[in-house]
Amino acid sequence: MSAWRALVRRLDARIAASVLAVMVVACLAAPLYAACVARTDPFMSNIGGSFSEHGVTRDIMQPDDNPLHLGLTPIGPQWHAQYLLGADGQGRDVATRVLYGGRSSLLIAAASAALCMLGASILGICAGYFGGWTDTLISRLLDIFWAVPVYLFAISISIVTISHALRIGPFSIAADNLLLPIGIIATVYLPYAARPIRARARSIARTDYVLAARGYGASHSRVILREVLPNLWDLIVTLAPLVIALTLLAESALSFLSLGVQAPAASWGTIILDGEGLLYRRPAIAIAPGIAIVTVVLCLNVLGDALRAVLDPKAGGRV
Amino acid sequence: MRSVALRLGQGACVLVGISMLVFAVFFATPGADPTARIAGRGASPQILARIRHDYGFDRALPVQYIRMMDKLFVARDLTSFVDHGERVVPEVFAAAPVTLSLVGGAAIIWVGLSVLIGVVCALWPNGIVDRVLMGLSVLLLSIPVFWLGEVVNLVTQSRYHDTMLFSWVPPLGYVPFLQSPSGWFRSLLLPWLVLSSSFAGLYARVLRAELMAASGEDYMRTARAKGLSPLRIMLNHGLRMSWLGFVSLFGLDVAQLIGGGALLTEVVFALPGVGHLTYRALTDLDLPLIMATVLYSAAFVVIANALVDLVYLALDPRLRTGTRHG
Repeated sequence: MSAWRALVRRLDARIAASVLAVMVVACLAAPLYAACVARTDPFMSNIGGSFSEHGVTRDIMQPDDNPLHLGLTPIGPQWHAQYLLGADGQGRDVATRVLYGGRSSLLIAAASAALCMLGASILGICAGYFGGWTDTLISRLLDIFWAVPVYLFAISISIVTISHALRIGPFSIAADNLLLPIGIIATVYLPYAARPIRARARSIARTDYVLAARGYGASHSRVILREVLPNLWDLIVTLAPLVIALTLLAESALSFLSLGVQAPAASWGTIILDGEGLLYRRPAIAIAPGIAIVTVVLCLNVLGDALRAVLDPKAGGRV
Repeated sequence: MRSVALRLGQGACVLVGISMLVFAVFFATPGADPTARIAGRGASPQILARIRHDYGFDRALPVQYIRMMDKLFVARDLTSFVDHGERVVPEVFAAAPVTLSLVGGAAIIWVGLSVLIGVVCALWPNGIVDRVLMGLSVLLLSIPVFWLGEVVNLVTQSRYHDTMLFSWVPPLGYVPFLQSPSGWFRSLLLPWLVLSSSFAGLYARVLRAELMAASGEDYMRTARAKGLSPLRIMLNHGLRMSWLGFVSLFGLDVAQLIGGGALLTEVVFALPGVGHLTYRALTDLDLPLIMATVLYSAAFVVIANALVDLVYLALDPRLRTGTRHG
């Protein structure tokens, strides 16, 4: 509890947590924004549409300003309730899409981080606690995984799974199911989280209290649950925000390569990809989701640093 | 030396394992059957059968595997399944210099920057300079590299391209060094900066932490007691010990980047490097190209690990007696 109080006392942690909370609430409120403020459907193509502002009706797709007026460009930022950040290549409201995209991005990042931490804890505790050949096998496997460039690894799995619906026995997961990116990203970052957990579990397994518990005849599962896990908890809590930051970056990168979230659903990565084609004319489309990603990842990193400083006072000024 | 040889031997085994794994996964992937791809749309069964026979797809998988390895390493005439007659080995060798130039330059920038930031921060810990620089490092660490690349492109290619500041920026793409050294430099300067940004942030933080941890050690106190200047202590004593963690991190990161991890930077800046090639091979499900790029990438990781071990031995004489720490 003292750690919690120390955390709340830190200004950087307070600011980061509040900004994160605002971002999450804003993204969760996306349907509300779409229905009440922007009054558009973020997923329906709206090329022929128009909107009225101060009683003046304007087309969403404006003719290009070249001499022949060939081609159409979506309107730019209006800084107004409707089309706050302008429209994308299909006439959809960018601000609404960024909020909706945040829902997928944050959901995937959080879920894959949770899955990753769960898997990493199981692997790390098994390897560190049991040692011997279990440890050798798991550690070598993690080493090999870690040696593969993270994004290329994720891309290979996505291509195998996304191009054709994944079938495991009677279960079939469609290509546009969010479970796919969640599983892929969780797998890719397993070694990142498992290695420190293994190291800590290894040192805990050699402590007197674990030996004493074993000496009393406690079973392995009881020792792991009652002795090892409680002493690992602070490490897991410290790692969590950093892992979420990594999974969020990975999700956006995969979606940017159109291998993550599939259309018509949006995520921050896919919106950046949408904006790439219009980058030089309507930069707001690509810039807005990027700022959202940077903000969230920055807050998570600051929060992770603050947690580490609070939970691991020995590290002192370490970042 | 023996440990290095052992490492290389292990690495060779890992390479063989990886190639077999890639091969098995490819043929287990639904829809990856190369016959239909080579034949094209609406091919007759006779043509399909002929192609299957010509390419040897009707043989047992181990035979196919050995034939492919033979073509890749001995005859070096393995051809792509997707682009007819396109040889795979020269393609990888054409892409390698692009990636090597990109990663080499970026590595120099990020090591220099992070050492500078780390040392300055560790000299005046918790001061205003430290706080600002560490804040900057976290920020750099938090920016998605592909987005940063797009923003840089936006500024330098379009908005402000005609101003004095950015008129030197060439169009996206790669200029070979031998064709024009200055063009090579100009085409790579921005990709270098973009690629190195997040690594500079990460390494600066790691280095500062290591230097701070080292500053409590006895030899640092001795050095201070001798009356050496703080800068000399930091450079001669602190950095020397901190290099160890730094080197192992650096070895793995550079190996991953050379092996294709710089993919996003290459895609955004239209550099035809190995990452780009691997990405194309994967999206086309082109097994020969996948095999070549994956093995190339894995080889770099194995070599880098062996090199890191060697550098360890050079940096820390205690390891030479044969007892290994950690």
